[in-house]
Amino acid sequence: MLKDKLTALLFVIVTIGLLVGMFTYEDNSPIRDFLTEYRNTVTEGTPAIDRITGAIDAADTIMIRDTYRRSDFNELFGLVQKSLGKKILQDSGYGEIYKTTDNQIIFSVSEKNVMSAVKSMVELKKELDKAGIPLLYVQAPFKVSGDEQTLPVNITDYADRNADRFLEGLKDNDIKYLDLRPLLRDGRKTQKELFFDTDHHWRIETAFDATWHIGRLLNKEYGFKIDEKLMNLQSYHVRIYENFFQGSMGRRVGVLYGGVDDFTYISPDFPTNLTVEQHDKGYDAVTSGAFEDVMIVKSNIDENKPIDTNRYAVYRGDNAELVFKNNLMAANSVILIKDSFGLPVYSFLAPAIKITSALDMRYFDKNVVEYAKGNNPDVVIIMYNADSFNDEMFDFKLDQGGENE
Amino acid sequence: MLFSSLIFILCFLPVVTILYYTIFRFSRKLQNVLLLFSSLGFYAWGEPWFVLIMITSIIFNWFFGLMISKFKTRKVAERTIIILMLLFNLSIIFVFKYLMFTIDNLNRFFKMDITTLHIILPIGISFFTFQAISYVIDIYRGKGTAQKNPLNVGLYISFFPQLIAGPIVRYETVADQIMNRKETISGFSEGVTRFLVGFSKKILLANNFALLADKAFSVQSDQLSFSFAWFGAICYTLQIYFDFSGYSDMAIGLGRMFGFKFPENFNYPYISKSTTEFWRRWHISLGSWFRDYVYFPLGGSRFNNKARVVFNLLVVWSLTGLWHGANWTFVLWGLLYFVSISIEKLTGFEKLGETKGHSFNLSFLKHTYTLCLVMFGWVLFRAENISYAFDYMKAMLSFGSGPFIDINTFVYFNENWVFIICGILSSMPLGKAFNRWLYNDKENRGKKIFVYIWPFIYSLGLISLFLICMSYLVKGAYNPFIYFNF
Repeated sequence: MLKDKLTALLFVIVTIGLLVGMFTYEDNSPIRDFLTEYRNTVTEGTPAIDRITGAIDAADTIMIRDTYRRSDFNELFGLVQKSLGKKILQDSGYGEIYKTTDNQIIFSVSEKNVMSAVKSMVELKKELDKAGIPLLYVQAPFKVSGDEQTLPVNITDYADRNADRFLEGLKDNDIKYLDLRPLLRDGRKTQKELFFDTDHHWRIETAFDATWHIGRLLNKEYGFKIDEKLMNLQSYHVRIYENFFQGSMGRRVGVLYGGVDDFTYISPDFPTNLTVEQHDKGYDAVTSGAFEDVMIVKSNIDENKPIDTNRYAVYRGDNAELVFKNNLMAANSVILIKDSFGLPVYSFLAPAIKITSALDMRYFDKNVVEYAKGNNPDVVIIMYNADSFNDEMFDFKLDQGGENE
Repeated sequence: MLFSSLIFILCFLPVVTILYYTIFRFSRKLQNVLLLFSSLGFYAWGEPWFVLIMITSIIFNWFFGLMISKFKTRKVAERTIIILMLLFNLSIIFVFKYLMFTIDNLNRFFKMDITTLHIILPIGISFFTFQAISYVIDIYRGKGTAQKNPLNVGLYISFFPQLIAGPIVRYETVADQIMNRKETISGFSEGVTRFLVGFSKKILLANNFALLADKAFSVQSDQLSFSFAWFGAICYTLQIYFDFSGYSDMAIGLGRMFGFKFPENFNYPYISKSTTEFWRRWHISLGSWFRDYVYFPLGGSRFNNKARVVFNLLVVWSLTGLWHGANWTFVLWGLLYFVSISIEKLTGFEKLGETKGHSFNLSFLKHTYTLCLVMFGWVLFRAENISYAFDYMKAMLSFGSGPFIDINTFVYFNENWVFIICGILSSMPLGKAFNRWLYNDKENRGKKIFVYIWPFIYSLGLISLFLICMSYLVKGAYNPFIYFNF
């Protein structure tokens, strides 16, 4: 029948087109990617049968990763979900992600046992007390607030509840903390002003406010002398890039479903001169210069780059250890143990104090107490968002040897 | 490898098809060799070493086939070979599928202390073993000739379209097609269309229903509400139908693309008015396999003694249950059908109300009874164990300790009502009715135009569905394979 012949013709064109496209599209290199994936998964000495299984797994992975017009398929998926009015979307990474009543995309956080994190904090505090170094925990908010049901009504988000229980544990153990959640969610800004629609992070303006909530506390209780002027947005360049950012959540559902965010880039409008030391496993680097030259990954706000570029990472980060030495300031130093919410925070703090050391416990493999003793900061700050209560983030490597480079 | 995977759609299928119709097109033997080795590769993709079991099965059954052919006139020798063949094939299936179950039950019920083994079930073992048995028995019954070339036996047993989820193709059906099939553009096109229909059923309907059913069946039984229990049961009823019939459509379509004609496996089972009718419409190839290779040899319904007929039904339905998986839930599920079909047979239930002027109400009641029984059966089939199955059924009957209605039912219905309505409509023969309407009374002018443009609408619609399915695959959406137990 004609309908079958037409269907078969279209099917042949589409499948052959996708196959040829996969191997010829300039951005794709499936054979090289396959070999890389295979070498990553199959090590020397692997038995033959496991090598075959490894090769099969690698081929399956590459088929998904290198599908021709992958982003168009992603958009099509989003369009279908939007047409069906879906608020709960399947996701290979998170299981499910949601569109909130504010039209923001996010995953939900499950209930966690925060007591092991409290225990780690107590041990850290005990060791830092011996060295005479104060400890401050800063609770950053998660995108979903516990005050309002913005997720689909049958979905419970435990981020705020986990954080509440954790802070209660800190209070019981006399560990000082600053809870940014009520300070940022004081009604002056809407949820959409506080967080990106398409990314799980806070907006840069929110991070800026958070930094100076911390700054004022440091001035008040830890003897810091941060200039009040530096805590005012008027001392900074503010540039808003409209329809510029598709965050990590948005990349999962496409522009047609999730939309695009504006991105605000904030940088000091005062003289800066910093030396930045970067230490990662097997890689060290030192650079010096003004804020824009050493603190910023400029390519991430290049207007010619696609919108799914990680704009948030314009403030450099995701390193095991970053040390910012401010050559124009004489006093105050901080060790900030942080998750990705900390990237803009230490970027704003560094031009205002002498030394800011940023550690990420996912990559940093040395004893934090010994590191603190070696650097003797005015305070050790741990700042996590309410989705970071897991063992990895609270493993301060206290059982590691005392030698720190 | 699964049909519903990118590697199959974008690599395996185009490459095999292109090779089949280009380099290998000049020789049937070479085409068969290509299909055989492709099929072995297809099978090995999931768990490479299992292919050795299949090759062993192919070699032994090829040998049994030759022996049957050789000793055609010597009944004793023939029967001995049949017994050896059954011992061989059933041993394979027993060791890989039922040995662990047997040991567990010996340990549990007879307080024995046999070390529990951990044997991984080779995918599709029940399907290819039944085909292998069919090969030898059909030669024995004179319904096909023995293949001298073991590669042809290999192709029959391992041909990738029907390898992992059926339909169970009997040797007598395809014996001639192995060497004498005819590929045509029409056949290829029909195959593609059928494949795409099955592909869409699997990815868009079955996989979405799977998510919902999984949610319901993962709720603790004491918290399961009446409404969500029914919602889950309905979703699983739709999931298993669209998954299984989708796979069968894909298999039939793929076979057609290479010139084979496989039997139909599903015929709108949910419109049945009795469980007997349901099993004439559901997994037809399995039902007819058991009928022809077990029920009829036992004597079937030919006995005047009703007890013997019931006994035969008991054997068939116990085996049918067990075939679906080594778990008491499957056995009980089989026995449920034994009871219902026996009662229907003994009471003449099917003929009830089929006489002239039968009432609509009775027909509706029969349909409702069948659907309810089938759904309760699926609960048994889906549940992890019998205890959970009964708790789930209690919730469906509102005897459970959970609430009557809960928010999950509302949210998930609201999110998926389009799929649910499409699923229910697609499980009825509306397409056939539409075709009848379309191609009858072509004189109607409006219809004439529609008949003209319909092929274009249909093709674009089906390709659009295919692209949407691809987007789900690229996204790595939930894509369960529910035949691991089979």
